Amino acid sequence: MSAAVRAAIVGVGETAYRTHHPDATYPELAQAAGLAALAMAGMTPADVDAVVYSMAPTHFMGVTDAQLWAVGPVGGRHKPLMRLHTGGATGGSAAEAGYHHAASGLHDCVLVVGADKVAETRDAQFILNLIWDPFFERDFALNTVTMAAIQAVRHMEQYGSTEEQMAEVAVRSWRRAKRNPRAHLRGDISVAQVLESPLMSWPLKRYDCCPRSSGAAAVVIASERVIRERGLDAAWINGAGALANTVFMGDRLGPRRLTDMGDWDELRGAAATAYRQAGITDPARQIDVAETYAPFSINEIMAVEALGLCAAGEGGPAIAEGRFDEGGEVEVNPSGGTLCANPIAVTGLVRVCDAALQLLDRAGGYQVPGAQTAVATAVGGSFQFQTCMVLGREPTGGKS
Amino acid sequence: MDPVALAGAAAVRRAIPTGRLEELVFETAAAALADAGLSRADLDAVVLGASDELDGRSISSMLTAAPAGALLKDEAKVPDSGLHALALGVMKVLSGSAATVMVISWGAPSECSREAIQRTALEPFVERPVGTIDGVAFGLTAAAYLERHGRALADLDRRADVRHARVGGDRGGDGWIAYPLRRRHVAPVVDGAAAVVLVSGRPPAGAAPAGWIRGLGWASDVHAMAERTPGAWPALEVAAARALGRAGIAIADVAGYEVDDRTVIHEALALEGLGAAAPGTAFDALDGELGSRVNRHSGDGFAGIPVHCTGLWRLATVCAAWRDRPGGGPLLVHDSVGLGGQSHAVVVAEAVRE
Repeated sequence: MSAAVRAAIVGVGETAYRTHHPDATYPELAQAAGLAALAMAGMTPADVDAVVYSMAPTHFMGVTDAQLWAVGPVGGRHKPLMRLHTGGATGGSAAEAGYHHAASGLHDCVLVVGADKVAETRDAQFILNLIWDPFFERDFALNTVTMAAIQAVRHMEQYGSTEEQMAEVAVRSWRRAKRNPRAHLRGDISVAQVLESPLMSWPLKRYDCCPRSSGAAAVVIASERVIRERGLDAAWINGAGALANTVFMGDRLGPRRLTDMGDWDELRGAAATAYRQAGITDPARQIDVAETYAPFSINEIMAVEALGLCAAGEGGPAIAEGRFDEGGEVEVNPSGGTLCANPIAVTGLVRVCDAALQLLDRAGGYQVPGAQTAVATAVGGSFQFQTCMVLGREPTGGKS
Repeated sequence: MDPVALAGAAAVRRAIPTGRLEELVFETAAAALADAGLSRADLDAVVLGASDELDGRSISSMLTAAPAGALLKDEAKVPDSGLHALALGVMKVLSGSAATVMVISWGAPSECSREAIQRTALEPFVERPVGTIDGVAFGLTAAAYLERHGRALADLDRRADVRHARVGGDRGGDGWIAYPLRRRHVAPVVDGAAAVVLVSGRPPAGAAPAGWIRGLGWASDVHAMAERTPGAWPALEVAAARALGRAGIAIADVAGYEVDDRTVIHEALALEGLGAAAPGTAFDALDGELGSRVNRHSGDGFAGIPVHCTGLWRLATVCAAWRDRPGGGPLLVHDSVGLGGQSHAVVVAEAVRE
């Protein structure tokens, strides 16, 4: 990556993810993750010279601009602090903004932090209906579940993906999450259980869908100068890409479409940028771990295809065959992924956290042995915003 | 820091709202590109500075990203303010991630109840019932300033008279906002939008920059006003010091100030926080030579404050002025956001030389 300054993640902090955190206020949650990330880096809040705050729509908590409450608790008083908000992709965008803070040469140590309490509202999908046009789209029950269902149908129609293949994604995610102490959901479930679980919006059943989670996440991003001076372990940010598309899903389905809703071309484009910067030419061989933001089972199938880990249309069969399981060429979502925890404002950041933990040898029970390169993604809006970050044990390109 | 070029800009202020939000966004973005002599294809990234609440829908960038020029482009939204969005755009250029970046911000208060939105930003159990929304916070800030520096209500009135005489029209009346602020001390808000096109130090062919970003800084204070320094903006002092330091200049080198003047107390606090006037002396300084160097390009906020994008709007307006009259020394462009001025952003900008 041809950055002005190389930068890397040197600290990761996360709370556990649950439906509720009645023991902590919103700022306290963010503070817990921030302090944990700093502790891993051997730093204190005094070492931080800028804060990037990851906060998506605040309406789940019924509070506007909740990040402003957290300025003091995250150590941001009298420091640069900016919020990123790209819907579900917010955490990915915040991590990339944190990278730009350091790579620009303007900051040496950046805390990227955020929190969410999605279950403060009784019905997150009611809130998520508010992202749509108030005069037309809201009235036909468009929300993230129904939106994902439309994508799933599109993928099934194009490639013949099946409900059973989607169920395989859920089974594997829940099984992997058993190794992650912070996961919201975990356990042994069967394909039959997934298929028999309550229908949400065909073809998606309850186990095909992520939970409503609360929790916080943070990373510390440092410049190469600080990393060398302090002798810090580092997960180098070697590539960062993002791509936005039109909100209108019909424009991604019709005969004159520029991209196809069933293909996650936005992620394909974001990954192309990140891969080019990181020197990734053969993703399936060069990437060891992928943490994909896949809030619905169909999304993991679409993500592995868009990331180039398999060909378009092969995602479902490849997952069902175990190609992305433990010991496979690329391990996908070893943490259990978004299907097992989705604190929306930071879910993209959680993906970055879990990718970085792999390269810092801090992933504990879900550590992928010898992982050298990891990729983290995030998606938001009407699946129209995608980010992709490539991390490595060694820096590629840029100026030292 | 390395300077970043202001290749193009557009500023819109509408006392009478017209059209849909996405049309306002599109027209502003297109005008900035035209001013830059570039097309959408030249953009590497787009940064939005917008508020879901003001826009009336969650994740409003879902709708506005494309009209802003971000269709199939790198895009991010910084909700804090237009100048905060500018900061991210500048960092993308400085990092080498993007060579050409559109930064665009807007606010359409005609579409919403700003007081209702401000109330939802308060802590729900104690602050909301008390009702310390912006007007009250401004009043508390003004009262603390007067008390701290032994200034009089007459200072507020005198400054308001000067500013109303400058813009003419409705003088706002004597109704209370919150002691000691009356309506005549507070600027009206209007719909508006602003965009600038940033390019790296070597502008692309066809682009003729109007000016340069030479430095920038931003900083926040804590949320609870009781924990802040009353009647002062120390976070602004931090932001200004960083901006000046990055530009490698001192406050004495600054030729003019384009500051947040949404109330008469904002104007005074801004100039003192920037270092243009000593604490407690801004009203006196404004009576003198300093007054002629404040908001000279972008005009008095009493003519209408385009909310949320205010700072970027001032910068874009300055760029337009530079097109007509290049040169002059560096300017400080400032905006404050949040309850009682919780956060601030400062930019050091300078015209291309004649």
